[in-house]
Amino acid sequence: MMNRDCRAFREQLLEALGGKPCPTELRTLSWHEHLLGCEDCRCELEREEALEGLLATLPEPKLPPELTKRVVMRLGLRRAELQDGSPLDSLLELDQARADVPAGLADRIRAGLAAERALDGLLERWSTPQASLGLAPRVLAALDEYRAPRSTRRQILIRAPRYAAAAALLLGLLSTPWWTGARDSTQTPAGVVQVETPSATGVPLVDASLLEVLDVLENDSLWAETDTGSVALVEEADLHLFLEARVAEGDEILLAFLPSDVDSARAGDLSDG
Amino acid sequence: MARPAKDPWKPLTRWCLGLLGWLVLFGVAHSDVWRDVRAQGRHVTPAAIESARARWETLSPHEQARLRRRFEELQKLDDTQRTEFQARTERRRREEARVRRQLTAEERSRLKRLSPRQRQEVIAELVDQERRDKGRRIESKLPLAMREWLRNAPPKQRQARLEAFKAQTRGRISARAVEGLAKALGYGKAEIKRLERLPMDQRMASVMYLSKQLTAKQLQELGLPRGMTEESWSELEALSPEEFLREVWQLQNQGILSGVIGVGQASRSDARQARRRVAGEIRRAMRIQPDQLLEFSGLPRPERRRRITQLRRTRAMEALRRHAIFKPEQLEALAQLDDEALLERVRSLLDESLERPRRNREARR
Repeated sequence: MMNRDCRAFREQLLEALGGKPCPTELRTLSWHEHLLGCEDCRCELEREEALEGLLATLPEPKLPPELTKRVVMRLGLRRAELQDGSPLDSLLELDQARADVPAGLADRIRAGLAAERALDGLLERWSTPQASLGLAPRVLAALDEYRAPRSTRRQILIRAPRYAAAAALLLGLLSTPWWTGARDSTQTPAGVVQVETPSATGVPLVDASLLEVLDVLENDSLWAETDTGSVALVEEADLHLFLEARVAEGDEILLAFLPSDVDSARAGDLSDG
Repeated sequence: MARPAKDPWKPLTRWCLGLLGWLVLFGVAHSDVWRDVRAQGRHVTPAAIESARARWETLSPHEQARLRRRFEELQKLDDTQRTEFQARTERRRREEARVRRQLTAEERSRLKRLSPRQRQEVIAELVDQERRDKGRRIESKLPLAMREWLRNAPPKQRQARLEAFKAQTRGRISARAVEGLAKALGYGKAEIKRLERLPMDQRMASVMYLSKQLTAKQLQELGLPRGMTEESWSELEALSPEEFLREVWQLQNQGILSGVIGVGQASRSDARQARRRVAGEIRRAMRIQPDQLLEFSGLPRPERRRRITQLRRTRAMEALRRHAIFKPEQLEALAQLDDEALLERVRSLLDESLERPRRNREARR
């Protein structure tokens, strides 16, 4: 059902169809808001797009070199026809009236006119090409290859090997010894405390990850140890260091604004857990 | 004409691609190599590892066992705790560097003559003193019930409760803090309302900014403290709010700033100023001094601590007598306490009687 929006859209479509076939102009129209709710106009646009696509692929029609002369001549004849009746009659009259007219002129003119009519017929057919049934969907399907993204199945077929190759390369690079320097293949995985096992030379082995943090382990100020030998980070064992580490400046400022009459009760709630 | 139908494989394909991506990330994150890359982030070079190995081999079996226990403790940390620990370690390194810079030329030259281990111990003591001072200051500002709970709670439970308390405090108090600070700085009502309505993170940033402004204003009104030049003041003022306040509070802890500086403590009464000045001087007398640490650096740690605590006690008692802020019988009672207990008691008396009248009222309830 055509409504005002449809008519407005069709007008724009007609404007876009003027001039040489240009499918890109119609592609701009395919973003038109009206198409979201109008199946008819969408189909119309798709049909026009298909035809434009087809027309754009046709070669430019070549006009015969003598066409202009002939058209001018025919226009002259038309003018004469309007004034004096049939142009052929006037020509024939001319042929008969003037003795110096070359013989056979009338025949040549008739032959020329016949050729002209044939050309006109051809041109008329060019100006209104009739698409065969089912042409538009076929053209659209062919255009989709270029207009729409490639099908996902095809994408995965193309991309999956690339991704797999990149992943394999990355993992391969990362696990290759040259990347991390000369690493002993018998080395215990980092992060595991190795039980002291005498090596072939009798010297106890030590985990490299322990050596990496040896300076931290040796820093007594970071650790708290009891007489029983238990170890803890110093912030866990010392309340003041714990508060220093956990309360930022902003939070400390807020403490100065705690209301004196309610804060103990609220903190009491907290301490009750 | 209908558009071409959508590809039914599309969701499955996307899912497969996503899975592939995650598998790659998982593989990388769990490879030994990633750990090595992280270790490289700490700038642990092969040469440093070899140097550590050489040092390790000089340690006694007892010492090695001790460090292994620490390493095991470190291994128990989850990723978040490990990150926090690394951040604290980094911050500590910066603090050590700052403490070194604050030493006098003579102290620095004495420090150079010590062994690396002794040097490390001296600097660590000074850093720990500052950190504990800050921790005590924070503790003194906490509500009584929260303080009591923290003192008695198992260490493992402290963090969750403290985080909950901080979240509650931020939610309830940040707008009030913004209002108090902005009013003290003479902001208009509309501007105060705007600041109060900011999202939490921006409101907290405003709290920091306004605190810096207010502290700077108070400092300028009082005149620059002794030892601070216009140039050093300019350097201080150019710091970010966090760094600025950290520095100012440190100067307060050291007794260098002993006026009325402080957020929410903008009273300018002469009596209160005088009380705070006296408190600052007594606190300074109780602090561990670099020259004490340097003098006793050759002693074993327990002996060194005992000797220094004795010195601090002597200096504290002298300061208390000089300022006569306690009655003779109170001084007599203090003198009966052992060194550590005396220092702790004096600290709490200063907190309660000189700087925390509000908390006193609360304690009496």
